[in-house]
Parts: sequence; C-alpha cells; structure tokens
Amino acid sequence: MATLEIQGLTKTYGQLKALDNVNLTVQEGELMAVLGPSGSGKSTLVRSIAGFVAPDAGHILLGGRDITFERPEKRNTAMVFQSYALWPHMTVLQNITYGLKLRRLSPEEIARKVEWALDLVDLSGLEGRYPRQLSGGQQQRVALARALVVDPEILLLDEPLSNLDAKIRYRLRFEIKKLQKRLNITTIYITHDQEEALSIADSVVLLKDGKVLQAGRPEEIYSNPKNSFVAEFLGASNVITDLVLQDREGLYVMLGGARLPVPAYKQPGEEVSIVIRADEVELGGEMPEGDHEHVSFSGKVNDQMYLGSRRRYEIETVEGHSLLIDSDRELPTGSVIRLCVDRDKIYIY
Amino acid sequence: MTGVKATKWWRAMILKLVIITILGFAIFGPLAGTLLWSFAIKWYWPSALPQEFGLKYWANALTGRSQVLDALWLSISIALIVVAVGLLVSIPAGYALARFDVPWKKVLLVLFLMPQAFPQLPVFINMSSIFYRLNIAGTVAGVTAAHLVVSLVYSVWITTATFKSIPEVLEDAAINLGASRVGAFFKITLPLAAPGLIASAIFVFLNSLDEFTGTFFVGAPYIQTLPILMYTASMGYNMQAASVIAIMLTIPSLVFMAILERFLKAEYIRGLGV
Repeated sequence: MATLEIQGLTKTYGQLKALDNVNLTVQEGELMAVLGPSGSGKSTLVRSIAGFVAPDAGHILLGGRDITFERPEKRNTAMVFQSYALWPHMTVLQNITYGLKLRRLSPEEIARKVEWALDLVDLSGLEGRYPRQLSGGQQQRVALARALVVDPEILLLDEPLSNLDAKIRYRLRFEIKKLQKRLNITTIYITHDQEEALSIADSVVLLKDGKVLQAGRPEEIYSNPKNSFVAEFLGASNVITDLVLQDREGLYVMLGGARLPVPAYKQPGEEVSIVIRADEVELGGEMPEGDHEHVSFSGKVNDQMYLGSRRRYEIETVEGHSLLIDSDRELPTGSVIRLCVDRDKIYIY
Repeated sequence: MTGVKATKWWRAMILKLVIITILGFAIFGPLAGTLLWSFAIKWYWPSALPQEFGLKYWANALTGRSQVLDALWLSISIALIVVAVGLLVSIPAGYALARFDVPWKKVLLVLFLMPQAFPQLPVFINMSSIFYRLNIAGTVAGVTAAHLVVSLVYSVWITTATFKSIPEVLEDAAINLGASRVGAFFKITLPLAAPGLIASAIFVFLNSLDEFTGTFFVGAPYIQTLPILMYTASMGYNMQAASVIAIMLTIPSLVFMAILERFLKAEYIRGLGV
C-alpha cells in the first residue's frame, strides 16, 4: 500500500493531448475514481501508471519512489482490465497463480495466497474451470483475485464493470468497495459512469480532454460543480443557455418569469448556462412569503412520461426553455404550474 | 394434369442424375484410374479394365532399397527442414507485423508476395541460374530455398493473422503482473497461437511435399523428390510406378487435412468462447 502522486503528467499523440498537465494525489488506502467521457484521457492515465504509456513530461511517484520510467513489470501495480484479459488457455487457478510464480514464492506460500484470494472473491470450487466456462461476473472476480493475490502497492481498475449487466454491476460495485476498504489498498478506479464514481469513491477526479476539471470528495463535487460540463456530466439533465441581462441592480437572467442573479465575471449580452437537476425541483410547490432560500418560477406541462416510481415532466417556461423535471405528483398535460427550487441547486455559469 | 407433373418430375430427376454422374466422374474418375493403374500388371488399350492385377509395383516401391522409398524420405526431410526454417522466420516476422508499426510494412508484404505475382516458370528458371552461380543448384539447400520462396508468403501471412487475433491486452496483463515481454510471449501468446502455427506448418509441409516446378529447375537431376520421381516414371510410360507414387503423395495430404480441420475448428471455437 502506498501513496500515489502524479505531477504535471503530459502525453501527446500527434495533435491530440491525451494528458495535459495532470496533478493528482491518491492517499494510502484511498479509492479515487477517475471519471470522464470517452477520449478524456482516463485510460492513458491509468496505462501510464501501469507503465504501458511513456509520458512526455511529468512524474509518477508511488510510495515516494519515482516510477515514471520504470519498466511495467517492475512497478508492482496490479491492473484489472476492462475486458478482464484472463488467459483463455489457463484455468482459474493457473490464472491466479501466474503472478506468484513469477515472484518465485515457495509452493506452500503460493497455495496459501491462492486460497486466500479465491476465498476473498468467493470463487472457491471454481479453480479448475476455464474462463470461458464462467459468467461475466465470475470472470471479473477472477481478474480481481489475479490482481490482488500479488499484493500490489496500488490497484488499477480500468472500467471493471462496464461489460456487465446493470444488476450484477450494482452488486459488484459494493463488493469492490468493501474489499478495497478491508484490504486498505490504494486504488484508482476508471469509469465513465457518474453514479458508479460517486457511490464507490473516496474522491472523484473529473477528466476532460486530458485536463483535470475538478477533483474532490463525491459530495463536494456533486453539490458544487465548477462548470456546466461537470454539472451535466454528474447527472444534471437540464442545461439552459440564455443571454445575460443587466439593470440597475446588476446582471441577471430570466427563468420562468423569475430573476436569477448572474456571477459578476460575466458580461451583459454574453451567453450564460443555467443548470438544474431533474430531481431537485418541486412541482406545484408554493413558496412561503419572504423566503430567500428558494426560487419560484412558472411553466406549462408540455408532455409527461410514466417511469414507475415517479413521472418525468417536460415543462416549458415563458422564455421558451424546455426543462425535464421528475416528480411523484400527478399533473395533467397542459396545466400551468409553479415550480420551486433551492437557490443553491440552481447553478449558473 | 398429373401427366404433365409426372413428366416435369422425370425431367428434373434425369437432369440431376446427369449432373451427379458428370461430377462423380470428374472427381473420382482420375482417382479411380490411378488406383486401378497402381494394382495393374497388364492393361492394354482398348480394354476397360486391366487384364492382370497384382501387387508387383507396390512391392517394388515399398520393399528393399527402392528408389521410391529413398525419394519419400528425401521429400519428407526437405519438407521438415522447410517447415522448421519457415517457422523460425515466420514466427518473429508475423509477430512483428502483427504487433509493431514496422516501417515499410506494405513494401515488405508485397516483397513476400512478389514470387507469387509472376508465372512460376520464369521465376524458377531465373532462380536456378542464380543458384548455379551460388553453387547451391542441385543441392538440398537449394531445393529447400526454392520451397521456402513458395511457402513463406503463406506462412508469414497466416502467422501474422494468428498473432493479430490474440488481444495484446493478454500480454499486457502478464507484464503487469511481473512477466518480461519475452516471458509473456512464450507463456501467453505462443500457446494461444499454437493452433494457427500448426495449421500454417502443415500447409507448408504439404506444399513442400507436393512441390514440383521449383524442385525440377533447381534440383534436377541430383535431387530426386517423390514428385520428380513420379514425373520421370510417367514420362517413361511406367504408369504403374507413377500411380503408386501419386497415391503415396495423396496419403499425407489426406491425413494432415483431417488434422488441419480439427485444429482450425478448435481455434474457431476458442475464438467464440473468449
């Protein structure tokens, strides 16, 4: 177990900046989720930590040791690949044993460690199977056992659950988190799924075009997204663009007849983004007199969709903006209603 | 009405029978003729079947210090050398072409294809004149080289395709756990490539065993492989000896084809299962 420090890491492929001056610190025993859309550089990041990509600039320190240009087989990182990369001509046992044999451990020690790993991921009894005879979830566990059995300083998970169906993914997410906490192993978890990142991680890093857009605890980054891209990527379904207006009281923008103040760094006439999450607006709620913590505005129900536990409404404001709002209330299409939202939950960039 | 239908049915049936008969003759006719010839002692025109059957020519070919057995061992030895050298060249070449950005990759592949692009005769005639200057004409080395020129293109291409079908991430996983690049190749990639490599080796072996033109121009008259011997026998109107050799040449092909099919199937299933 060790602290991982990444300093000014940069990697360019031709014109494309896969990593652009990335700085990160993962504390000992911390699980950091690296979140980003495809092409954001998160795979390049994890592959350069493992040693498969040589960075153009910057340093990678693992437990204080500079491993930037160390050969991948000497780094003592263990990676779980998106495709699991289990060796199809080897049994589960052979797959898990391989890394230990390379470390020239005694047969007794190998047997003891393999038993520990099989027990850890709940695969005892399947040692003799070949990967093709296992389900996707079981293959994933073998990959995890194979990585953990060599006692790595850092665990690298590259989209480990993205090839599984939703139900198994949900369950394995918790199992990985429990395992990681139990072993107290420093872990980097690459994903493009915001919910996965927020639910599993101690800290989240959001990557786009090779740059770190925002890093912090999941609660922090969710409640204080730095810009409209972060907010939208973290699951906000409404990003409205409008122009900044100005009067004697300052800069503002109109939404549903309500006046929303705009940060001072904007210019009048400039475009501004209003970000609102679908589940953070109360439909039909009346705001008490003198309430300064909420904003109330109006809109018309244009359309609706039944989602089981709730309904999704398409609301049109007087400015012609369309908003998606989730609510458990039943409202007829065409009705004009009031909407109420916490001032802190409207993000204006 | 029924009369018309019946006529149609008969017409279709007769057409089918005619086509099947023609195909049957085309496929089995020459084989049956060869088989008959190999067991014939006397077979004079215009008789449909040999006048006298016997095992004399088989006995000649297979017993004692026979020319046929010598030629068979020579053919097999040359084929095995060609397979060994072919694998030694095509495994590294195929791996490099599959995994790395080899400079001049296209030029290299075209170069390998070159001998196939021209008619075989001028290629081998030129080769024989070059080999005479190099003093390897009429030697096993010369014939082996001629066979390699023919088969290397196939073996390099099959090997490249085989290595390409093995995901690189499987090697990455081994290296990540502490294996060297060479270790990962021998422990992971090579075993996974084995079916493709064996298929390619069998292909090269059969190709060399049956090769005639190159052997004839480069090796004659000192190198007497089985196909050369068969040619000489049939030129001397010794149809029986030629037929015996022809059948002996067919047997390894049939056996290896069966093996090849098994390996190709195994690889196919593996491809689906992973």
